[in-house]
Amino acid sequence: MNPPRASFFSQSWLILLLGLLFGGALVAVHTNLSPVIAANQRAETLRQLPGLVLPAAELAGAEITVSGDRIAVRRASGETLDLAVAESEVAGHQLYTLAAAGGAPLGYVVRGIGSGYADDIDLLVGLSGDLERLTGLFVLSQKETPALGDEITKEPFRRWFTGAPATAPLVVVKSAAEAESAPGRVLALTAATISSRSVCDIVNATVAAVRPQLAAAASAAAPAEEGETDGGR
Amino acid sequence: MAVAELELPAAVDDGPTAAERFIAGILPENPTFRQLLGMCPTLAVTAAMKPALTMVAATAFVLISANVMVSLIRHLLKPHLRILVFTLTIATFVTIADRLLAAYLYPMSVALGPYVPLIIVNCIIIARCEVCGSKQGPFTAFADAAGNSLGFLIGLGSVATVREILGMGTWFGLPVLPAVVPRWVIMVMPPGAFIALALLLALVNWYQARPKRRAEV
Amino acid sequence: MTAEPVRIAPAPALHVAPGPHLTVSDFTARRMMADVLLALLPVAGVAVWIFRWYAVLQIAVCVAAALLAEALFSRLRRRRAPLDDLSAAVTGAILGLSLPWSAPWYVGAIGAFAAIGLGKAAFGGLGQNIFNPAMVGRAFVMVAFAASLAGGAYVRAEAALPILTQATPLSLAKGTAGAVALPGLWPLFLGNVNGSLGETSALACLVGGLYLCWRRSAAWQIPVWTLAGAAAAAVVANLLDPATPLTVLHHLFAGALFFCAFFIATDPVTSPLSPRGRAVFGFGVGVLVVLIRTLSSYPEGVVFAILLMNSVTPLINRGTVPKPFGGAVELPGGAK
Repeated sequence: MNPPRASFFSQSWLILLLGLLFGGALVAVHTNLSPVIAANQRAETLRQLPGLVLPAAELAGAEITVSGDRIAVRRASGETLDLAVAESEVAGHQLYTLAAAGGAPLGYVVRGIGSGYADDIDLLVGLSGDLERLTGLFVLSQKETPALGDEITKEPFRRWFTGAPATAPLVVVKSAAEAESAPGRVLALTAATISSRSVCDIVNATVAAVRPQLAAAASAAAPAEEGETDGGR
Repeated sequence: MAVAELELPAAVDDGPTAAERFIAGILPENPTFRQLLGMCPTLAVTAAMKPALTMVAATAFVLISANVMVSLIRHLLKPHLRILVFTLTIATFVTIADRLLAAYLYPMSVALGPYVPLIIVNCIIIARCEVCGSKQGPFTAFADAAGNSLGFLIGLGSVATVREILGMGTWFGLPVLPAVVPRWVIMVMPPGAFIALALLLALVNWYQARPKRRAEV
Repeated sequence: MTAEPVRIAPAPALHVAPGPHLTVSDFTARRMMADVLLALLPVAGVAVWIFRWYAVLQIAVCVAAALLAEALFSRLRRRRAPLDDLSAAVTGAILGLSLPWSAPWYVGAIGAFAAIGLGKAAFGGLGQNIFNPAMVGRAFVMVAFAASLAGGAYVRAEAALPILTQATPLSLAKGTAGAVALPGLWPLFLGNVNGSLGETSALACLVGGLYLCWRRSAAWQIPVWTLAGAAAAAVVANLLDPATPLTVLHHLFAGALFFCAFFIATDPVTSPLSPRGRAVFGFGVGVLVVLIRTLSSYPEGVVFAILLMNSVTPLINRGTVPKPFGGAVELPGGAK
């Protein structure tokens, strides 16, 4: 029997060599591609931002392109809206501040994560520039029941969040009449009350955590200036 | 160390020819329906055609690269360390495929999620390296990998076709069923994968059994 | 293609058959299934009385599709279609009675094909199936067409019959916390409420079910223990959450519990063989139904309770082998 040490290299030289070669190849691939991948991931999120801050009417048929910190919204009419995005973190939530190029904040988009009926729900919620109203909701990822809970990603459910007051927590209700009766009500999805409630809880928690800090920052930065009124209803 | 240990017994290129290997991989030894290998992607990413075909493309890239690579170094392989070399080779190409997808086909990379890295443990690839790559020349290995990739395409494509058309009424995202036809949500959910695969397998077996039964009579 | 002749070996001189050797020759699968169909008559009658043509159509579609599926899958397996043993008709009838009045025709048809194809033929036909075929079909369409079978699907504001504009009792209980105007116990018992076709009337299920038990076509232990299990779980649920609008009697009379106890759980193929096993099985079904009702997002839990208990039936059978008369027999090899 060979002593283990003596035969180590004669047994394993191929694996060591391949390991080095493959490792080198992976380093090369990674160095070349990682900036592209990071840009892809960011662009994917940024692309959603205008829809969460601007009213839907302004975005009908618009084409959204992302380059770096700039989002260009090309409307169907041909005019282009140039938005600047600033990224920061507030109260543990990712915050995107959207402003017309060189202007005051148009609105904010905050990312919130919380548990749904199945797995975590990861969503973006839009806040108006004056922090008074919610301006939109977008679900980044969810694994709710198909055809029931996953309706949270669709417009009929999301519309309850657009224009709702940001000053008080949202309330989930069960009848359409009740939901229409006052702002800040969210009509629960049929047979998916838990999913509906989860989304509202995440939005409430996110807004409650972020809003006071944003308000404090805004009043400190521009004590004389009132919050800019953006186009969101 | 014995000289015989350096070379695998069948290192000489005396197996089936490249053409035989290529043909066998498509239907007679179809990886999905006849070998029942690579069941994980067959069940997990076949809710729609687009992710299924992206998965086939990524797997084909890894399968062909790894099989040819193993074939090139087949004379250097030590029998007891060969699986280690296969895995190392496959893992490298899978990582490259994963990064390429994330860079140039980002939506598909998101849709496939962890199933791209999981190509590493796709048994089709390691089976081809073991059966063909480590024993035959690079050209035969290439033909073998290409044939099996086509077989895999038939497997995933057929399951995904059934599931996407029944579940969403579309094919490659294009509407094929009128809106009045009900959508079978179950087909795009995990149970639908098992049901669709089982029914297709039953169909293949039933078809295979037919001529034999006739011959018996 | 032509059917090949079945070759039968010449009769052996010595006839050897496995036990049991003493059987009642007229106690056949066909007689049992005919009993079930007969027992389903009061249930179907109440369904037609409450839901009118909706019930007639739904049951007809399901039975026809089940018979068609049985014929088709038997042909695929090159067997004679055993339509005359009535088991496919029973599966179709039970499936139809478990569907909402509002479900479109294709739900029943596809459900029946799933029931016979996936639930029965795939396992090798009657007697070989692990799961109750009707419940396999019901579960299939429940997931496939979730929107047509969710609690809200039972209610149509524009329906001609007033009863069809009301939410089902269990959806009501699920929907709003606190004050709900649940139907009284008497309408629930008689069946004058909205719901799946066959589930509304506990009384009709009781009448049909007692006939089945009297004819020994259903084992009496299963319905008794199912109801006991549900009642026990409901008592616990009420103790833990006194505010719930569902009292123990509501749990028993609302939803499909009676229908499940007498007609679904008693399927002889997918339920245990021994009296003790049947008690365990029934109790499990009852507890699971109430558990699913109270803790899940589904208002009713019969389908999944039955399928879950079906899956452990072989285990129950193994654990409850009856002692032979005269004491346990020591088998060679130490196995008991």
